[in-house]
Amino acid sequence: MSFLRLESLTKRYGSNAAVQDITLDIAQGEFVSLLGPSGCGKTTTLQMIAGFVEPTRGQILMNGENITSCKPNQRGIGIVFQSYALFPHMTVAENVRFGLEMRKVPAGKSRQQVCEALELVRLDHLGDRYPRELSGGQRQRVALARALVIRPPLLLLDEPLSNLDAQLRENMQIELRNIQQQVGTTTLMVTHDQSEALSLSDRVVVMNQGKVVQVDEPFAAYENPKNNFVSSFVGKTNLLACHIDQREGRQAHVKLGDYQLEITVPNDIKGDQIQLSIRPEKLELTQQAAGKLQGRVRTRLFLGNHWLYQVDSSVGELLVTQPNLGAQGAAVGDDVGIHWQEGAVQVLGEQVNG
Amino acid sequence: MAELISPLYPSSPRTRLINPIPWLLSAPGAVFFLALLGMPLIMTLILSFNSFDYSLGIVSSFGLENYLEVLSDSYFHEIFLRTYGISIAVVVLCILIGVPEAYILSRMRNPWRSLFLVITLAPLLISVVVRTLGWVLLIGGNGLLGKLLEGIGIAEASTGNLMYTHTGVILALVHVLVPLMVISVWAALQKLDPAVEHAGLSLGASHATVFRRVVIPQILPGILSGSLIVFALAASAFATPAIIGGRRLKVAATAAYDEYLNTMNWPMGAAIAIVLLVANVAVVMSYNRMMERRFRRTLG
Repeated sequence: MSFLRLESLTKRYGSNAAVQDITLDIAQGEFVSLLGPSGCGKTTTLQMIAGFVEPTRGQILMNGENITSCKPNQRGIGIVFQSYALFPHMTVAENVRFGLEMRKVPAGKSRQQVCEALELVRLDHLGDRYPRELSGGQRQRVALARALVIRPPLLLLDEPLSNLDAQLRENMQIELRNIQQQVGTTTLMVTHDQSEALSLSDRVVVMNQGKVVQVDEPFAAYENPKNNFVSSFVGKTNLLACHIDQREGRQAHVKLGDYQLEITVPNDIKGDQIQLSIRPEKLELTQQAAGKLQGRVRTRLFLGNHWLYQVDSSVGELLVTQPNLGAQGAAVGDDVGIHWQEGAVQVLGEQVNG
Repeated sequence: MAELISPLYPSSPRTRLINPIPWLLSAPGAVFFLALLGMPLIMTLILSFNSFDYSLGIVSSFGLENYLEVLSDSYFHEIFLRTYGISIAVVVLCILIGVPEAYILSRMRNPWRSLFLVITLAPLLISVVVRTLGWVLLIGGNGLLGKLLEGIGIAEASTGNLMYTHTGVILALVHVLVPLMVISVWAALQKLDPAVEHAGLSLGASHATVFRRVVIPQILPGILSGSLIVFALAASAFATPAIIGGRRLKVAATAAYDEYLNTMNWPMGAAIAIVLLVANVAVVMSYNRMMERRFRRTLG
């Protein structure tokens, strides 16, 4: 039994479909991310759930109830906006209290709930400040407290961390995840940041051009991407276009430069044109003779915990990351071999645009 | 290092050299301003201390009798009370009309928004005198309003005659000044994050509550500065009260005009003008001070 159900939800602007036929089930208490590049329809989807955009077609069911034609102020959904959208003329406590006032919660009870909500986001000492006296991270937390204090059945997060700097974002990710698990509110987050989606969600919905491409748990979406769009949008990858020479059932041989690679072709791929996806961290640099492929290091970037190499090989340019284990690795201009473990190669169908 | 820095950042005022460039650059504007506004103002001020004699004309003397007369005579009290009463009524009506108008305009989509904005502001392109004479055609003794009322049969034609009435003056002034309120509120609305209204709705507030609790407080500085402009212009308006109010409904500006050109009592006219100026400046400045104090913390 799903808690939130989107049924062939569609939004057209003129002849242009912003969201096309999205069907999605979200369970009670689940944290789901809509992940995709800008313009893929993820924000439109969120706004339809919130009630700010009217769907052209399809239904939204929450707790079994059809809320498609409900007004936004009758849905009771908590929303954290990208710009935070705090009320600048109200103090932090007044901002948080606003939703309770609208619900006519008695003063004593509302004061206590405001306190609890501010404690949850660790801002109980700043209740008298005005939003413009707070830092970005603090505003973000006020927005979260304001959305959670009404105990919404559903929490919508619209790019909640995109306005924060990198370090703060990481801290907030951990905090957001903890708070969500603590209160157990079903949460739908929109983001274009794959690491945010992977680290926070129970399931990731990868969207492109108004359609859902893949719905999976973060690990599965990363390890078994459905096509080249998912594999390159969720994490970095090397994509190699190949032609199948021989095929016996699901077993096939492809040529990678001079190397004969044996692969298992998934059932749903019928054509001979395929793509291979190999994640940079699954490639290893070895002595030239020991590698499955040979190449030469073109550039090397040191990133602290790992090196990022760009290697010119017989099958084209490859990205390789090597963990920093305390020793200097291959240098620019070195001839290297490239090795990978069995199973590191993902077989994808023909290229789709994205 | 200290030697290097000190000429650039003088530590004591004695070593500071006056940089002539800013003074020179602002000189043309300052001279222009002093010659065209400052000088006449000072001359008016001096004139207001002179006295007037019906046989001798302006007597070059120094005394406060003009001010004493303006401040003590109930005839002038009535004129000043009328001036500020009309101004306050105009401000209130401009708020009631201009704020919703600006809000609706800001919620429209283009091309309608641009079109209606131009229509709203277009009256500013027409001379106030011409616009007021237009109002005379509408609300005059033989005007369209009277004919309309008679035609419908709800009132006699004379009911439509609003010449020389407060209603007429206020009506015409509101028409002249409402675009200024719209511009001021419009500017405040442009700074509003649309997501803030959505946030209010998502927390369960109705559209009316969002407007009252979320939108109005944020555009209040715009409403207040618009009120200030409208108030100052209404209190010092001349053309509209002169044409529609005439001599029966004198305001401060028309009273000063009459002292100058009818009674030829220039010192008295000057005193009225100075009192009006001082009162307006006092209202505007205290209002501004109050606003700044109120919004420094919340809206910056």
